[in-house]
Amino acid sequence: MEEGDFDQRLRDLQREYLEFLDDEEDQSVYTEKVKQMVSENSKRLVVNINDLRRKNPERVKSLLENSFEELIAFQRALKEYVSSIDPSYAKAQEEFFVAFSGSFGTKHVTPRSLTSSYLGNLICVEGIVTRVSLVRPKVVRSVHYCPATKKVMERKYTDLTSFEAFPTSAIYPTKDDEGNPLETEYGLSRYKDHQTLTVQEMPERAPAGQLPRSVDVVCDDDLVDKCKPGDRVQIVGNYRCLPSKQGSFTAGTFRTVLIANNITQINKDMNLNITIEDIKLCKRLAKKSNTDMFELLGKSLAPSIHGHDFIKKAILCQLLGGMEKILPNGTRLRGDINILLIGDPSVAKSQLLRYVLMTAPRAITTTGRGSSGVGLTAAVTTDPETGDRRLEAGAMVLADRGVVCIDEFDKMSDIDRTAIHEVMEQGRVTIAKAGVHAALNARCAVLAAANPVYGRYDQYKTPMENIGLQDSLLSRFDLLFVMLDIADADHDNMISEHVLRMHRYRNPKEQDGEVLPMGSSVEMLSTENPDNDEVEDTKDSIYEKYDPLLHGNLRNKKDQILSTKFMRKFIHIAKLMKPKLTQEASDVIADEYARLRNQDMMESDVARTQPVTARTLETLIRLATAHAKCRLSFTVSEADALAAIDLVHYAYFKKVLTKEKRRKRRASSGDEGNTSENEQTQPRAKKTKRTEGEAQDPYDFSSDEEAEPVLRAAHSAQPESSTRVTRSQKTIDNTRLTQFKSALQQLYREERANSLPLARITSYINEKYSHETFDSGEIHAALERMTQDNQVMMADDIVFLI
Amino acid sequence: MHNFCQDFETVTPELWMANEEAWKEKLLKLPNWNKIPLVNSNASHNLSDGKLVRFRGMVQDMHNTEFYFEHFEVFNTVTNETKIKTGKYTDTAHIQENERINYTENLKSGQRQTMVIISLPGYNEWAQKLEDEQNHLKHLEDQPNTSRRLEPTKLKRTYDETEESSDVMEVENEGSSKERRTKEDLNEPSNVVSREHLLNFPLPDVASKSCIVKIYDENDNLKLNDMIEVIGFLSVDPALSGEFQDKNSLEPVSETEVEIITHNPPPSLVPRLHAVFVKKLEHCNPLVKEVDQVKILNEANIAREHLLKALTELLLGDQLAAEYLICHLISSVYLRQDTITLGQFCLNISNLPTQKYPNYAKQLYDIIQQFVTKSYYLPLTVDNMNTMALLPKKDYECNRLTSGILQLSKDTHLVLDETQMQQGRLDATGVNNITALGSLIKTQKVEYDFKYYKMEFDSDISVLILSEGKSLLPSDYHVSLRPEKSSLEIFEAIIEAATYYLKEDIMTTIRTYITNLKLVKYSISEDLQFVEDDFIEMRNDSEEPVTADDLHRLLVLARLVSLSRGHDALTEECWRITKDMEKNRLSRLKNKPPTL
Repeated sequence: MEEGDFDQRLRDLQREYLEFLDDEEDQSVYTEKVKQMVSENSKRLVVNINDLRRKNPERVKSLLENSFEELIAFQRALKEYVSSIDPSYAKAQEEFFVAFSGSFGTKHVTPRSLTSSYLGNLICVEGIVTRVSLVRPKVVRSVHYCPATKKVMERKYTDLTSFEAFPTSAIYPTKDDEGNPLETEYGLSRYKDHQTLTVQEMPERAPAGQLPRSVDVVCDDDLVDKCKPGDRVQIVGNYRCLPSKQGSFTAGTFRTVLIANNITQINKDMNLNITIEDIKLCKRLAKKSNTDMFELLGKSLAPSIHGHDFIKKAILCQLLGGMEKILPNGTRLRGDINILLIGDPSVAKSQLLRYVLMTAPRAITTTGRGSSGVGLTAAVTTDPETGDRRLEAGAMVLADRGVVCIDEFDKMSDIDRTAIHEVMEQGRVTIAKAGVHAALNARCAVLAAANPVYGRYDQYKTPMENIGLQDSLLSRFDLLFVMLDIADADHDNMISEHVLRMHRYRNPKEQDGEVLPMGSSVEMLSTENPDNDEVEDTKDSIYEKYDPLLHGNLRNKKDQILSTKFMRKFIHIAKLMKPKLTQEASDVIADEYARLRNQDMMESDVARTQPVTARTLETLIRLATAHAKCRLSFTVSEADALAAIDLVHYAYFKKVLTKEKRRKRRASSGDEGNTSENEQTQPRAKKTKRTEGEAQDPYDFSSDEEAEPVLRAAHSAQPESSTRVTRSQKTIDNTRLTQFKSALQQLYREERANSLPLARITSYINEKYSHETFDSGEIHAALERMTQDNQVMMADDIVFLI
Repeated sequence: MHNFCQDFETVTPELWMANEEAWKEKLLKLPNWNKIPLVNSNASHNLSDGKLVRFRGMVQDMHNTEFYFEHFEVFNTVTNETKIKTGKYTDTAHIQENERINYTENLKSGQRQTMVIISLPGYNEWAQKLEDEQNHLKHLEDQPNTSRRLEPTKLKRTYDETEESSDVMEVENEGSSKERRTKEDLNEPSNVVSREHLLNFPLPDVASKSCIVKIYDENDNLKLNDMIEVIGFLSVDPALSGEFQDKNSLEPVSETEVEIITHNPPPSLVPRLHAVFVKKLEHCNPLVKEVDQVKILNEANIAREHLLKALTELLLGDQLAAEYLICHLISSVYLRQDTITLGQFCLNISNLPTQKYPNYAKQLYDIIQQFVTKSYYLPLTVDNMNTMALLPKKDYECNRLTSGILQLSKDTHLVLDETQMQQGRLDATGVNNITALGSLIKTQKVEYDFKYYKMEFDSDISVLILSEGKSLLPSDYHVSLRPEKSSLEIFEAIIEAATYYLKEDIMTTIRTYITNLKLVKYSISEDLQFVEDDFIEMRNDSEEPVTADDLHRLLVLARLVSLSRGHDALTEECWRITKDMEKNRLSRLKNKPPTL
C-alpha cells in the first residue's frame, strides 16, 4: 500500500524532471548537455540548480530538503531521457548520475557549520582534502551459475550509500535454495569504484584558536580520484546519517557521511567576494574630489607603522601592479613592480613585509636563506625511496601572480641570486638538471628587505657601496628605498607616544573569552563564487573604527583610514582595471627618463641608489599605471605620471651624507630643483609637484628618511659614469684633433650653417684627409672633446656649433 | 547544605534532564565543588559509571562533532510497548534485547562536541599534592557501591595487556615513543597501540590523565590549549573501547582501524565525560581562591622580599639577576595587536658556573619548580633536539592532533638548559625544533603542522634560557650572571639553607604572589612626560641605536617592576629603578667578566 504511494510519487517527480531536461522547445540547453554527455561517454550530467529554480522552484526546494527521493527520480528521468536520445548508450550504462552546481544559499556550508539539521539535505561543502582512501571495487551485481540445475541467478547489492531503501547482505551466495553449490561468474558481475575522502575545514575559515573540523565523503564511480590530498575542493552531495552499531549494543550515536555527486577543485585566488555594492562603493570613494585615493590607501596600509609614507605608497603600487604585456612575438613585458628595502636593523622592514602578507591575495614569505634545498626558485630532487626525479617548486614559483616577500635578501645563496635574475625580469624559472628540463611560471612581484653591507648604513659612503649588490640585480628592482634610523626629537616623541599608547591600551575583547564570529553559513551563496566575507553595505564599515586609546588623538576625524577588509576589496577591484597610457603621460615620462639619464652627469650632491637603465622607463610606466588603477581610471593621465616620477625621485636618489646640521627634505629638494634648472628640458612639473606634495602630505617631513641630512657630492658616482662613457670609445691624439677641428671649421664656413648632420661631416672630413681617413670612433672622440670644451654640441647625430 | 552534596552524589542523567535549569542553578550556588569527585585526584576505578564527576585539564584536541539521538522511540517486541528514550549524557542507548529503535519517526537528533582534555601539562608536584589533599574523597574507596561499578580486576587485565604489549614494542623501536605503533601483522585480531599513544600527552616521562569530554553547549567557545574544569557524568562502559568493535559491518568504512582505536580508547584508561558545565580557568593554583586586587598589592612587598632573598642566594649573590628572574616569573602576555605581542619576557641568564657545578641549571630549576604551578625543564642537548617532537602535528592516519612539547597551556614556564648542549650536528628535525623555539620566544606563537599547511596558534609560555655564553636562541632580556666568589664556594650549603629557609608558609606566600600578580590589572596613566623625555634623550645620547622595540622592552619591564612592588600603575620611581636595572644589565654585557 505504502509502497504503491511511494512509487506513484516517484513517477510524478520523474515526469517533472523529464520536462525540465527536455527543453528542446525552449533554449535546449540541457538537450545539448545531455547529447554532449553521451558523446563524451560520460555518465554524469551537471545541472545548475539556478536553471532548475527558474523553471520549477518547487522541485528545487524539495530537492534541497529531501534530496534522497528527488535524486532517485531525477536520475531515472535522466536515464529515460538518454534512452530517448540514444537508446543503445542508455542500455550500455547501468546508471546515470546528476551532479549539481549553482547557488545553494544556506545549504552552502563548511565542515564546521554542518550540523545535524542538514541531514537528508543536498548541500555544498568546502574544504581541504586531507585523506583519500584507496579506490576499491564494490560489487553491484553478481552472477552465479549452478552446474547442478544449469540455472543462472543474478543478485544485486546495495548498501547504506545507495538510494534503495534497504541494504542487502554483502555475502556472496555459495549455495542455492536447494543447497546446490554455485559458481560465481566474475566476468558477468559488475563492480563499481568506491572511495572515501576526508574533507577538512580550510584553515583561514577556522575561528582563531579552534582546530579545523572535517567531514567524511563517499564517492563512487566516475568521481573517484577526482582529487588528491591537499586539494581545496567544493563538494556537492547528499548528507546522510548511518546508524552506528558498536559491537553488541547500539550506541546512541550515528555517523554521518556526505555522498558526493559533484566535486570541483577551487582556486585559492577566488576567495574574495565582491558584490555590486562594493564596486559602487569603491567607485564613489574614488570619485570623491576631496580625497586622494592614493594618499588614503597609502595611509591605510600598515597604520601601526609610523611614517615611511613613500614606502607605503610604493608597496601600494606593488599590490596594484602595472600592466603585463605579451607582445605578438612572445616577448613579455612584466607588470610586476619589485621593491627592495634596505636599511638599518629594526626599522620595521620585516613588519612591512608581514603587512603585505596580510593584505595581498596571494603572498608567500621566505628568507634569503630558505631552509630547504629548493630555495627560492625550483629544484630537481630525487625521491629517496623510489629514486624518482621530482620537480619541487620554490617560493617564487608558488607565488606566481602574487607577491613574494624575501627577508634577508642580502644573505641569499649565490645559486639563488643567479636564478633570481631570470625570474625577476622574465617571470619564469627554467631548469635543466638531472635530465629534467622545465620552465615554470613565476610571475611574481618581489618585495625584498636587506641589511646594508656594513650592518649599519654608512652615511659617508655612497648608496651603491652600502647596498653591495650587483647592478644587474639592482636594475631589476623598480624602486629601492633606504630606510634609516635617525634620532630626532619630534619624531622620537611620536614614537614614544605611539609605544606608550600600545601599552596603555587594553583590548576589551581580550579580557573575557569573547564570542568569535563563526558558523558563517549564510555568507556563502553560490558555488560559483565561494567566499565568506561579510557583505558590507554600510558606509561606515569601510573605515577603521577609531579608538582614541589605540590611535591617539593625533588623528582627527578627517584622517580616517580604511579597514583592512575594505582595502583588500578595493585592491582586488582596482587590480582588474586596465588603464591606457595617454599621450600627455607618455610625454612626461619620456622627458623625465631623458632627464634621469642625464642626471648621471649633472647632479653633484646626490648619489643614485641604483643604475638608471631602460628598465627605469618601464618602471615609470608601471608606477603610473598603478597610480591610475588606484583612481579606478581608464587612462593613465599626466598626474599619474607625475606621481610615479615623484616616487622614483624619492627612491633613486639618496643624498650622501653630511656631518653638519641636518637639513630637511625641503632644503634638499630645493637643491635638487636648483641643479636641474640649468637643464633646458626640465619639465614644468618638477616644482609644482613639490609644492603640491607639501600641501597634501603633512607626513612627508616626519618620516625619518626624509629628515635625512644632505651631504657631500657623490664624486664616486660621477667618475664611474664618465669612465663608462669613455671606455667604449677610441681616443684621439692631439694632432689629429687639430686637423679635425680645422676641417670642421672650414666645413661650417662653407656651408654657412650652425648645425650639420654627422654623416655630412664625416664624408667631408674623409674627403679632405683621404690619405688618412678618420674612422667613426675617432670622430666621436673628437666631438666629445670639443663638447667638453664647449665648442660644439651633438644631439641625434646633428652637430651644433656653439 | 549537606543535602546539596548528597543530591549531586546521587543524581543521574535522567534526573538531571528532568529539571536541567534547576540543577544547574544549584550547581552554581555550591560554595565549592570539592565534594564532587575530581578525576585527577581520585583513581578512576573508584568512580562509578553515570555519576557526576569533575575533571581539570587542558584542551588538547578537538574531534568532529558527534551526532546522537536526543530523543528516540523504542518499540518492545515482547510487550508491544513504545517508550521514549534519550541519548543525552550517555554513550550507549540502553536498548534491551527485545527493543527496536524506530528510525523513521519521533526521532530527534542533536550534536555534541567531542574534545580530548588532558591533565595540565607541566603541573608541578606541590600543586598536584595540594589539589589531591583538597579533593581526595576517602569515602569513595571503602564505600560499597552497588551500581554498575566496573570490576577492577577485569579492567586491570585489559589495561595490563595493552601495557605489556606496548612494552614489547617499545624495545623494538625506541626513540619515537609517541609515534603510533601497530603490529605489522594485520591478521592479528586486535591492533595494538601504545598507552602513550592513547594518552597523547605533550610531555614525555610525565604521568598524566586524559579524558574525552562531550560538550553539549556550543556557546562555550573553547579554544585549543584552554585550561578548563568540567563537571559531567562519567561513562566508563568497557564496551566503548575501540578494540571490541565489530568490523564486519556493511557500512562504508572511511576510518582506518588505528583511527577507531585511537578515538575509542579503553574507558579504563581514558574515561568519557558528558559535560553539564564547563568553566574556563584563569589559573590553576590551588592556593589562590579569589582575586582581591588591593590585598594582593598590599602584600606584594613582603612576598617579594622573601623571593628576592631566596633567589639572590641561589643566583650566588647576584641581586640584579634575581630581580630579573622575579620579573620573569610574574610575566604574561597581555596584548596582541597586529604583529606585536606585548608582555612576553624571555630571560636568558648566561655565565652560569657550570665548570664548578655541572648541574647548576637543573638545581636552579628544582627550586623554581617549587614556586610556579606549571613548568617544564628541557635540556637542549643535540640529541634531544634531533629526536623530540616539539611541534604538535596533525596525524591524518589516526585523525587526531599528536601533541608536541610546545603544546602547553598559558603561564607555563619552560626552562631551556643550554649548558647541556655539546657540539654536534643538528639534522633537519633539529633545525626545525630550534626554529620553533626561536619563533615561540619572538612572537609567542606556535606553528602546528597540518601536513598540507601550517597554522599558528597563540601561546603564552614564559621561556627561561640558562646558558654558559649568550644563548643561540633569541631572548628579550639577557643577563650575565656575576657570582660572588664567597657564594661560589659554598653553593651546596646554600641549596640546603634555601630549602630550610623556604618553609611551607613562606612557600605559600611566594606561590600565591606569583599567581596573583598575573591576574592583577595594571594601567599606565596618560601623563608620562618623563618616559617620553627619557626616550628622546636616550636616542640622542647613545651610540647604539635605540629603537621603538627598546622602549617596548623598557615599558614591559617597568610594568613588572611596578607590579612586583605592589603598584598597579607606572610611577616615576619605578621607571627610574627600571632604567637603572637595564643600564646595569647592559653595562655587564659590554664589560665581559672573566670566565669562571
